[in-house]
Amino acid sequence: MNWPSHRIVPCPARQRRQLAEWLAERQIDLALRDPEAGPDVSVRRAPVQYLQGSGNPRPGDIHILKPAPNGTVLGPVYVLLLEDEREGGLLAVPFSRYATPAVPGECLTGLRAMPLRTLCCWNARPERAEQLLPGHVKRLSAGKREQLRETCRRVLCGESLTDLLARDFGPPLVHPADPRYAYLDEERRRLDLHLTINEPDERRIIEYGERNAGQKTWLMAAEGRADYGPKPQDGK
Amino acid sequence: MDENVQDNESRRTREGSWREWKKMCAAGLCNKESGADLRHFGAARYSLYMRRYGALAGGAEHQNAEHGWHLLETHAAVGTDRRGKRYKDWLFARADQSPDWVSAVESGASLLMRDAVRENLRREYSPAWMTSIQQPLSGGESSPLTLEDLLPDGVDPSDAVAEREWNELSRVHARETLPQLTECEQVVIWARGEGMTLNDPSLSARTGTSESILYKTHRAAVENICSELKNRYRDTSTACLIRLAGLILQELHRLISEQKSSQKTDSGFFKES
Repeated sequence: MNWPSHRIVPCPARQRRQLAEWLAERQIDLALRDPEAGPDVSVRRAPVQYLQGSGNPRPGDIHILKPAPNGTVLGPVYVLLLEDEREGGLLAVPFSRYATPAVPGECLTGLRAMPLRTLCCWNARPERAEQLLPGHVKRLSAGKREQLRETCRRVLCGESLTDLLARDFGPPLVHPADPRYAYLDEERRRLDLHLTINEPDERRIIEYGERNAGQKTWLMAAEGRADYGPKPQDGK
Repeated sequence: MDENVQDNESRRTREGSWREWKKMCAAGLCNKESGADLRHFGAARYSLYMRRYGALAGGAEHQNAEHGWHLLETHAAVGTDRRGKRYKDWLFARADQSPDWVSAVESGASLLMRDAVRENLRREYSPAWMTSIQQPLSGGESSPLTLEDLLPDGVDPSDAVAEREWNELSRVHARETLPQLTECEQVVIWARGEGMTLNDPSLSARTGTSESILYKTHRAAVENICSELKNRYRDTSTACLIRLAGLILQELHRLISEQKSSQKTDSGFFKES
């Protein structure tokens, strides 16, 4: 058998260590869950009236999303508000439940608080004030806000990262049976449940850059590339 | 309760304890009865989750259970001021939506406790540092996948001719593989090729199976393809095999799309996405 010519590019040991850490954390997470847990479908009372927070949401504020009205088996969702350069409003970028970035669309924030350690840029959505619990939990400094805004922009625009920057991001998705695909589905649905959006996928997912126009970009933003699934240039 | 925690040691907490805790910031600042109520709840939930994780937790549950509530308060807070403890607003907002307030607030606190225990286990008991790259991944189900499979050394096709050869090879394998796939396997491979999530309700409806079965089916189908390649090309690098498996799946997606769209009964579903 003659194989096509190719060049082998070594995988950094750092990425394998990072993936091992993430898989270990995921394994613990799944082991702790109630195997029969599912969405809570009990009858709800009228939505609660929230106390108003001080002022409007601002870029750099971190908020908690209001609890999902149809129940959820996971904890609170923290989001960072950043400027949406294309649409002019604000983006809500969720934080991961895990300490380690899972995929190239997730990065370490450098923040010490446990719910705020990893940012899921790939799962960013347009912010809607009525979906936030009133009052921010934290306001980032201008420097940190700018750093994370630039990081998010690079992910959403599909721009390449410097070697130094890439160290804060998760390892690539290569194998089509990688268990991280199930995690991505889970996180995406978790946001959907909290945002209670009834629009088709294409409209609720932010689309950045001409390269990805019209595509289901969420998966590509998470993966950092599109090895599996339609290629960006194969526009339908 | 959506987190259906049942524990012999647990008893129902009082609504007043939760409300006082929210007002006073920490259980340590509440009156004796309320503080004890919450600490007892915390210890019971902490022990439950440590037991659930099993052997790796060892005897730690007995040493730390009394600190369970403190662990929750420490883990969930983003800062030391009231603003940093707005997770309590989430907890209460969640409970306010429920007809059974106390059950709902206990359920929410259980979720927070579960995250705190997870973090504790990750720090104290995680085996990640000694994972071999050739060792099959641990988890609930047996899997032939290893770290090296998930992150092999990359393959960089050197020119357009090589790319064409890769594609031709994948087409041969895809045509061989397609007749061996079950209907459900075809649906999940097609769906993934479309960029769909496998927890999409339309897929469960189309196949008549649960989302967990769909995930298992997809994983098994891909692992079969990879195993077949591994057996057939024993001396070939993992990187090449993964590269080929990815191309085969793309080709299978194309073939399934063509095949299904020509069948009247399926055309609606396969054209939807």
